[in-house]
Amino acid sequence: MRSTAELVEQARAGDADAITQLVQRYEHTLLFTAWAIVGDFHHAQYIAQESFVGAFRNLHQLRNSRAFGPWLIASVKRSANRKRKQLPREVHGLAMANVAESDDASWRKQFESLAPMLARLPEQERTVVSLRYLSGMPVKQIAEETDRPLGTVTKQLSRAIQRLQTMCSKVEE
Amino acid sequence: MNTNDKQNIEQQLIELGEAMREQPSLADAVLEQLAEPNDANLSGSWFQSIPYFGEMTMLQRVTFSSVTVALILVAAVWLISSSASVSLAQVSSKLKEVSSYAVDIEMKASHGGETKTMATAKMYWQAPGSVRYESKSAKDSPMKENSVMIFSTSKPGIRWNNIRKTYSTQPAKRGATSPLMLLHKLADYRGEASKELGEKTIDGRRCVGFEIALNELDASAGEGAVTLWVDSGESLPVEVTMKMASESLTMTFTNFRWNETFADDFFSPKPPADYKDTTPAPTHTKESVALITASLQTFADLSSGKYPQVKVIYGDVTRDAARKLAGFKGAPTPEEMRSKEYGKIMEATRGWARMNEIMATNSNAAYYGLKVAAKDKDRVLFRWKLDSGDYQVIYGDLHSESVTGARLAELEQGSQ
Repeated sequence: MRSTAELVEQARAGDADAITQLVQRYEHTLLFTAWAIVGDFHHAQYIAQESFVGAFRNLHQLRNSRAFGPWLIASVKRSANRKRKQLPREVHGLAMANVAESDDASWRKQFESLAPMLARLPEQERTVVSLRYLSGMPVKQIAEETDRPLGTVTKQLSRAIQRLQTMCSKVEE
Repeated sequence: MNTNDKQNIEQQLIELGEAMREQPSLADAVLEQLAEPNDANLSGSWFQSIPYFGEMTMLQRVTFSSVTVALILVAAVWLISSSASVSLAQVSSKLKEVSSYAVDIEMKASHGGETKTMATAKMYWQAPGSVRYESKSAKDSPMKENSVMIFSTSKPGIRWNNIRKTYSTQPAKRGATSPLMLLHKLADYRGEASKELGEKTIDGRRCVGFEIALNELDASAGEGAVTLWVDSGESLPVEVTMKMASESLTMTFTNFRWNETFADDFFSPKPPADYKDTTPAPTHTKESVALITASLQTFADLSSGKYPQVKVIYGDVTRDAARKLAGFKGAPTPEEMRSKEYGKIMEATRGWARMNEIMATNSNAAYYGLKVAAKDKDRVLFRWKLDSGDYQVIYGDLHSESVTGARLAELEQGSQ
């Protein structure tokens, strides 16, 4: 598997396959990151897609190819926060969290039930959880991508799961 | 914490991730959007507003190509009729003798007073209606667009991407394509130039210039202007410029080579060896109906129950009309692009593009939006022939059913 840094270098040269792999690697994390801020699936999809397009058009601004992931996630957060300010409170309020478009696909229902809890995780934990589970990234790769020690990532994942379980328990009570 | 519970939440996350990764990726959408002419410095310009409407972007390209073919060969005949300095008979005669040509195209976008080249292309036309269109992105574009499209009115076409090494076949355009494609009909058209531009010298050649409205050439093609400079001695076009009013986009056609000889297979819809077939599966009628009715509903909601006021639906043109109805002016701002209403219009564009696809490839398709509105419950708004021989009909109130040819004749008798 090519590293993100390698893919970024190839994307800089206009390699469509590299762009495809980078999108596939990050799209679920971006979608969730945007959703966690705006609380609206429709807007989150637009924001994620726009962020990818903006990132690839501005790759020349990224000096360190290894920092692509955090750079991309920061970009989607900025866009989502801008959007959040424009949305009525009931749309982005987590208590009213919803999947905007009616869709009975089971994965959307799963997303709808888990995403509000994930959104309540501390930001760093939220990022590693979404990279690990939504993007399916190995722990070692997450450590490289986020420039954190492997042990830190493992601990953050463990704490995140613990928090999620606590949230689940409260919901069940 | 209970170990089973921990495993349970982890399992749920794993299952969600797996399910999400099985969904269609955004990658194609991103690549498609990157392949559009673009400039990172032109924030907020039109091309950044297109999320993913493969059909529409293709349509846009085909529309441009179609317009180009006609404009170059036919608009000249028509326009020259109003010029005292060039003989219409002479120009008409010259153009009717043309059996093929090649031309260079430059696409530019303007924003904030700055104009930049977005893409270049070469187009080749051969009688009676074969087109080959080769486009490349500008050098400074991060996405190196390099594609070839070949199409005609009589046989299936093809489009291939030299970067991704993929191709997709396109149905023959047997339906209601733009009249701009029908050169012999347009040659008979008589209209007025909106402006005479006088004379100027281009590459040492004395030329006469005219400006005309794009929708004078094709009422369904939207607003825009065409500027045409014709060699007053040779009576053939030297430079043609087309500007779309809704977008800061200008296409300029220069370096005409008339009566070029092409290789036998130059217009052959055969992909290069080893390219992967990515032709999408045909859309089911049920899906098409759902997509089309939703998009027509969006338009009707914006225009007090009226549907697009054209005879031929183009995805991009209808999108622009809807944007205007919704109050979006000029190039949309990033904030406007993120609004729900804007997103709804962009989503509806897929339906309008689907209508265009049906109209372009189905010789029995018809759209009656000029006469039928949302209040016309049982009048035929849009219909096309199915493979079964029956017709799919969408009525004014957007309910839909399939009917026999005889029933369609009854429905349309005296009412359309």
